[in-house]
Amino acid sequence: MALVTNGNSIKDILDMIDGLKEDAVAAQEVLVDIDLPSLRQIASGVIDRLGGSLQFVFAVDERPGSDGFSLHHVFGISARHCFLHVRSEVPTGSLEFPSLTPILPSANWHERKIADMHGLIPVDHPDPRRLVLHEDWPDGLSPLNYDFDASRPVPRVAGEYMFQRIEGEGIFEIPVGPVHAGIIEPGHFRFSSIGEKILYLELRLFYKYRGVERYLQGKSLLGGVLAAERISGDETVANAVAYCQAVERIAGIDIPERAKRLRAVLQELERIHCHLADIAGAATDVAFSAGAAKAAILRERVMAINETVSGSRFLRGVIVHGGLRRDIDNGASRGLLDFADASRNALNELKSSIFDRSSVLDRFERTGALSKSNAVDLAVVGPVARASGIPTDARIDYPYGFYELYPLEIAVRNDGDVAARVRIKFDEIERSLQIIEDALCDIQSGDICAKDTSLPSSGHGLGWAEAPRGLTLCWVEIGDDGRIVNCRWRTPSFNNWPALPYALEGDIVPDFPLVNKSFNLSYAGNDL
Amino acid sequence: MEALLQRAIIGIGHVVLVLLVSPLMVNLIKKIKAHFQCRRGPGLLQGYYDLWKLLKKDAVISEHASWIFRATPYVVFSATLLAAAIIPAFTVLPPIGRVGDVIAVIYLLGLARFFTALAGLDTASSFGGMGSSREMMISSLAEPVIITALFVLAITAGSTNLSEIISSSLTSGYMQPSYLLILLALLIVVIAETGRVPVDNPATHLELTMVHEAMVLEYTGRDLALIEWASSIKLMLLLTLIANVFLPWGIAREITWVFMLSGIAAIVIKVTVLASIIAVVESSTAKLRLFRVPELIGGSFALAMLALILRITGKG
Repeated sequence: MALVTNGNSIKDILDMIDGLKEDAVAAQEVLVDIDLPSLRQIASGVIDRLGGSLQFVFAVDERPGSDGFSLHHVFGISARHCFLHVRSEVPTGSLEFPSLTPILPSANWHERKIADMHGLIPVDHPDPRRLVLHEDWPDGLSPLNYDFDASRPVPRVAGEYMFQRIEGEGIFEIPVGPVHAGIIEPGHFRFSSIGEKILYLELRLFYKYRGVERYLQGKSLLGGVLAAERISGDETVANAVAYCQAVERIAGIDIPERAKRLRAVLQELERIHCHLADIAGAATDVAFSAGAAKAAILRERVMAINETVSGSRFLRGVIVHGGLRRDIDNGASRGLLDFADASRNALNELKSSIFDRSSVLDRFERTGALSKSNAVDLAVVGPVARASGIPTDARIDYPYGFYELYPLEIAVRNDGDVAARVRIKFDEIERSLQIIEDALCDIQSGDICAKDTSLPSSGHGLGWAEAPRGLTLCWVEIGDDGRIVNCRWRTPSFNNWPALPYALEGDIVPDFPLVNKSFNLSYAGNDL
Repeated sequence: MEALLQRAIIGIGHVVLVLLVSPLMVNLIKKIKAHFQCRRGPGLLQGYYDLWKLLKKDAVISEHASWIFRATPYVVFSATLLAAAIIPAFTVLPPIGRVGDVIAVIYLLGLARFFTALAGLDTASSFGGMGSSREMMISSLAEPVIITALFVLAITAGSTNLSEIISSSLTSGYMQPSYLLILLALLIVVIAETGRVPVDNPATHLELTMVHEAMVLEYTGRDLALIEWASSIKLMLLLTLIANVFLPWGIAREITWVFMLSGIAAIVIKVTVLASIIAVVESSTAKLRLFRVPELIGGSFALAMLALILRITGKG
């Protein structure tokens, strides 16, 4: 349950958070209503004095039930293990809200997405171009507003995206994508380079908009699980867990211990296969095919285990609000333990085949270094943040489920380069194997789903999980009829994509694919 | 008259051998690499099937392309094949008579490269120009190495003719310090010139990292077949050159059927061994960062230069 309070100065909020320290830890979501004009002041206070980071900004169209839009800023306050959910009202008749981007660069894409989805205008935003909806989308059609008619096809209009122009002697542009030679998701990259050196990279993504958030309006809670699992293929479990935990927090459902443990097992399996695919990709990108094959073989073993455990290679259809839909029986869990044991050797062998090779190290080290200050400013999450020296991990910062009581030590490295990111992934696979063993070794038999999953009343709340790519956040609002009224998502890729160009400072064009691979960002997960 | 017929048979046989064996060598490398990746890999004949498939297809050509783009596959293919025809493979006799020497080989390969680079620029695609610029950077470094290395051989043999060079290495021996140095230098340059790992990666799908593949990205159908075939011939001819100069065993010194057949067997075996070495190198190393390539080729140039000094001062 979220704690609700009113506050219009940062002092009120600080006092309140200090006063509610113990409860806040339990609640993990502190909801504050503020007046829109004091937003900037409060935001900078939260960042400076509470050490928070702006993780998620979204708007909700409150019409026709009430007037106008509500605006939600979610700050992660890792020191207090809670999220500060700051809610404000955009005044009736007005479509403007103050942009936080000039003081908090991490607000950039969130605010542009709100502009596209609701037609709201972030005032003083330094880059008010379209983001999610490209220029062929007609003006004035806002897909998340109540008056948008999703049943009719949207007409296409003429329009041109204006790329940032870098001009000067010897500078040329290299456009890449959105269609690529390999089997990659669509994304356009516009390099301004001088010789091979990258001067500037502009990302143009969002070719995969499916209207997930719109689709979810009015869906049943189970429909929400199915959609969550399909936001991004290799984040199936993490997104489903985030969504289900939001629902469970709203309904006050406490899931059984066995379900908590098995959910952790599933999440770690997902982390392992996702990281192994990344390692294989990084080796492929430096043309070290033998190492790539080793990683791919190991990943395939994980996928096969996934299938025996859950019936799905991507672990779909297992998680549901209240717990699990399918148990992992003793035979399968013994198989998992044997697998975890056997994987350690294979993993060490893979690690040394990659990191004992100077030609590979020469490509990985000092390539694509993301500085800690840039990572902090952009609220970067997940392994990318941990490779740049930021000890952030939702399993520790905002503990949930099995991790609440689990003594997890996260891996942090400081170099911020490709080597650091690949090493972090190896470290995390080792820890994930350990978590699987610890979760399964003394697991008790029992229920896998809470008996009573009915909803006491309508409500709204945040849910989160540490996906392989980092913190994934969702906000769910449930109506009196027990159906979803609104749902908003912020996957880790949405926070991490804007950091990619900063990691490329001083790098050369042919190193871009490797750096991009080491970030491993989802295009679909980024573009609901 | 009979001598003329003999020469004609040798010449035609040589060209047919090069045409037929070269796709096999490229495929052999793929097969060995697949083995290192725990894969089965394509069948050994896959290279021929691919060429046959491509040759039957129409080429799609950009409407912005000029005659250079259309002419390039033919120029590249014929220049490379002619260069291959100059290098003795299974007999010490010059296969197509004394029409050219090592310098002609270098220039013919240069001609092919020049046209490939122009064709890369011609369609004005973003990757073609990038590939051309990288190819020119690499070849401007690699060419001096080849020239220097071949000069060492020419000074030893007293001739730039390849038959004389091979004969000289057969008679006066190849276990000389300068020969070992240029063997190393040439092996590095062959890898660079044929676009193999660690200089280039022929198997990549990442356009931004490509060198040779980026230049020929726009080619399709039979044009692509000619380009692919030409690059496998180039690999074959460079490996033949190394095989016959540094390991001249088994090459036919007399024109009899027995010598010829054993000569053919010898060159196929030697080239197979060299191609396997390339495959092992490709499987055990990562591709170099682009700006490390000059260091590698610079090293091979130093080796070739050292060999030249040793040779001129008469110490090796």
